Amino acid sequence: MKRIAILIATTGGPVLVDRITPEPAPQSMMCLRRQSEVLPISLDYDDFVRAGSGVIMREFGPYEEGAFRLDVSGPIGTGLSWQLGVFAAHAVFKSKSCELSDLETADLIVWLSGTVDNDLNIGDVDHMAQKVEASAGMLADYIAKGTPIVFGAGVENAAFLSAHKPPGGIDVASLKTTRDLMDVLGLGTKDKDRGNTTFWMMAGAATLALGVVFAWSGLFPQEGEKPELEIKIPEAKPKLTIDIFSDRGQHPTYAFGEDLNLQVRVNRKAWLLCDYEQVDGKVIRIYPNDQVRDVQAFDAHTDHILSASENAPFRIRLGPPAGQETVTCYAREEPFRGSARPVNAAMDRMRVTLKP
Amino acid sequence: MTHIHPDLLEDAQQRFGELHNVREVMTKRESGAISLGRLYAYVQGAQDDAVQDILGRDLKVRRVYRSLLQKSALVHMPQALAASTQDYPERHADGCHIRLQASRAQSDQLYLIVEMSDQRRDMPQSLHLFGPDETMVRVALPAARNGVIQTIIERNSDAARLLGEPKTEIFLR
Amino acid sequence: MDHTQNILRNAGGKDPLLADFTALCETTTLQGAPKYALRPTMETLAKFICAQGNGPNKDMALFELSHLVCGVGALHGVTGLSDFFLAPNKATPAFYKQVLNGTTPGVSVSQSGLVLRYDDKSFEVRFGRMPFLVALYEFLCSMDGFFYYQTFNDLFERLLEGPPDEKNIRACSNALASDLRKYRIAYLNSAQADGKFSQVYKFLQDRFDEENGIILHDECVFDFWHLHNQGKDYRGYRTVFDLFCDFARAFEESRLATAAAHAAPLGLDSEAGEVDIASDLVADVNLDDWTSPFDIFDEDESGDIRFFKIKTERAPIENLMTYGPDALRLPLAFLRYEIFGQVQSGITTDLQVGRPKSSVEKRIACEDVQTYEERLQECQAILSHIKNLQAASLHVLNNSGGDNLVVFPTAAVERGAQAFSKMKRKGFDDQAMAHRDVFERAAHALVAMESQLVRYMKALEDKKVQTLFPQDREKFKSQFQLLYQEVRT
Repeated sequence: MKRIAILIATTGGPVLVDRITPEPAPQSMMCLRRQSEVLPISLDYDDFVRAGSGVIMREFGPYEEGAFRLDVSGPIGTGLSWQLGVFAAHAVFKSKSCELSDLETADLIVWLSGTVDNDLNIGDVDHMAQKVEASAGMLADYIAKGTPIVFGAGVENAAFLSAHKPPGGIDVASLKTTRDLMDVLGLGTKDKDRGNTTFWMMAGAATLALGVVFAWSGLFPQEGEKPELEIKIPEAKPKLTIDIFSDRGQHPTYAFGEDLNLQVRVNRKAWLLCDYEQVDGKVIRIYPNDQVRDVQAFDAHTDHILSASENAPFRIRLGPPAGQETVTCYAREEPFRGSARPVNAAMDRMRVTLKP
Repeated sequence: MTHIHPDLLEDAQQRFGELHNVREVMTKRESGAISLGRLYAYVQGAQDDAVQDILGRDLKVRRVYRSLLQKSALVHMPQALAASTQDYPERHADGCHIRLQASRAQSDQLYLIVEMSDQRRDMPQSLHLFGPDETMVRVALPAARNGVIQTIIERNSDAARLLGEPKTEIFLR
Repeated sequence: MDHTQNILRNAGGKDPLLADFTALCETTTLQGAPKYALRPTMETLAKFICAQGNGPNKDMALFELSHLVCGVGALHGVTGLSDFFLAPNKATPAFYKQVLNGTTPGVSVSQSGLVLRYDDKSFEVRFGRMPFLVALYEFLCSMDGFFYYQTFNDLFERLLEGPPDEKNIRACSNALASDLRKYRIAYLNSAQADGKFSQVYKFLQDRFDEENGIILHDECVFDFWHLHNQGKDYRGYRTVFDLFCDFARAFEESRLATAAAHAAPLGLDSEAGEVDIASDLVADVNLDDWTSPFDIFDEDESGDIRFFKIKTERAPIENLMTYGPDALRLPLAFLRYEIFGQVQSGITTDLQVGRPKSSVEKRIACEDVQTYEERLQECQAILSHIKNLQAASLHVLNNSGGDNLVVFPTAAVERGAQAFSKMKRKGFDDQAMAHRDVFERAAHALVAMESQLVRYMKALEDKKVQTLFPQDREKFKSQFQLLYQEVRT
């Protein structure tokens, strides 16, 4: 079962469609955070659902129960731009191959803003820039995590989004009708032939087949052409981390005369700096040092041996005084300048016990 | 300049007392009471924390409130005569039907459903419940759609408790 | 109804009458503005509750209220009755004129009010009286924590059971009066007032003069304040002025009342002091009392016409118009109230809000205080403005038609036209002719204002107050220095 998180874009931030439940009540209702608080747009939602005035029952019904309860994660003000997201949520709810998801466990995040008319055409809406800006903080985490994200909107709105430098990790889908939306969700006819293709591929392939997923580079403004509005989504990279250890573990014990084994691992390519603090408080810069001729950045995800008896750029022989001593290593994506102890850098410490 | 005639002393003293009292009333203020107009505005749907607070603790004010409601309510459902076997008895009166329906999604919540058979009449905006123990709850109602007003209440709320009690007197306004 | 319970219940230190009155002051319109104007509506109510007024029957308003309830109920039914009396709209004559309409047997609406006819008699409740009567209705129903609500509600509903009937109306008003009397007995405390009265009387008695007897004059106010201002009750000069103002008025009213022929009270229960308030013999009692002419300009309809600039043309004479005859009885004391009372208020405010010591010291020294001469000049300037307003208003009345034919001498017509054209302010334009009624009411108020201002200025000039200013300033400065010496050290 594929898990899709549906986000309704609002100027106050994206609102997740948390749950849809068929209810034996006269009216469909939209509720806030599973509480008894009913949103002011609830009556509009009822109209959108109801057969005759709306499209949900017509497209996805019949349901034995007369109505739905739709729970969302945050308030939605006036307007009708929630219709596209709600339509998508009902499509997912109806589907046997996918289900509504939270953001953490989603295979695909679909961010939507637009209206859906009675003929299932998708209409453009206002305030797209504010909606994107309000979503930036939340989406950055999921871009970093690698969850595929699709921004879906009407044709004009999608063109606007594409023209304003969306960051990597987000695709824009230009939606003319709900059929286009169904394809983005992997619920369209084209995707039914694709068997077990992953969701990300399904979404990508489907939109490519429609010719509406824009290649980001090709649609960026020409050089010298200034976009009307710079949509800034924070660059979401995993935080730089550094781990230091020895072949004797995290807290090694050495006798006088032995060589220190010091290994280091970073999660991104980074420059290093290591200090050794003796029992008497004296601090010795052990890396870089005179023995290292070519100081370079260390590759990510590799165990680098800095100091050891063999196969290391240098060797550190340990001696008196006895006691607890500390190795501190710092990592940064830019080279370190000067000899001062860095302030804003990733850091790890290893305690070393020295005995006679 | 005023001549002070001692023979007028007694009458003047009484008049002075009245003037003094008027001056006190006009210049000093004392909190703690609410006026009938303020209570009436609350009956008509105004939000007023002070009135809500005093209604919760003053039985006499609740009785006045009920009396005002009785004059202006769209629908009045007096205490039901027969006991009900249902958890939440349905109530009928004057082209109006009130019922509670359990939510499938949230077992701790109930749908409060008010159905008005004549959609041409004014639709109520609030539901007022008076229990046999003279407790009182007001529930603000959303707008009606096709004669149906629907909202959600908590299963453990006073409103749900009173709606489960056939002897609860109901006003819709 | 056992009122003793109520008295015991309220024996917690709070003043129920004040709380009830405050509650009514806090009743608002939908827009959050006070429903009842403090003056004249709430002031009239305060006078009524405190049983202040002329004549043997102080509860005549209850008779009017019973008529109003009966009439409104007959026209608009029980639900309409609640809407009329409790609607969150500003209580103005215009509002009630707008909402009252229709005719039923015995009840009709005239140009000036609601008319009830029964037994060959006719009783009119004027629109101008309705804001007060509506406030009275609400006060009666709300008083003492709604203690009387049900009783009064039943009384009013009985009134509506048939067409207007004198017997029912009398019964209703007498029942209201009976309960109001209990309320007054329970909550109107005369002890404090009696103590103050005796204190002032003794003070004046000590100044007995063989030739003139006991006389209350301007200097008495300052002397009493001088004597007692170290105590907490009389620290403020204005408080003492008000005290003497009430004292003088009490004797003045008493003198007039004694001089006038009184109708004997007709008691329902004469031993208990009750009277039939609907008695024909007391119906003609003069209910008029001084109200500030500015009240006319505060009515909604006057809002579009700028008769007075608040700061320069209204504020300087606001108190004079509010105090009316009281200011004229003690003109120099009132002048001191205005000039030096204002200084003392400023000192009090400075101390409350923690303004710099230099500001307080400046006030104590009575620096930059308006002189009596300057004050008279200011009054003269405003008087000229009032005369111009009168002329301009007459121009409007002369040119706007209307039911009443207004005939002016040619010179007055010319002067009116001139004054109107020179009045370069909001409302004095082509649209003015459409507001004839506003200008008509304004004209009456302007005449009263002129009279008050002329009499006040004459009284001050007779006393040659210009020459008194330097010594008055020294006297007040010296008292302020004593009163606020802690600030100066």
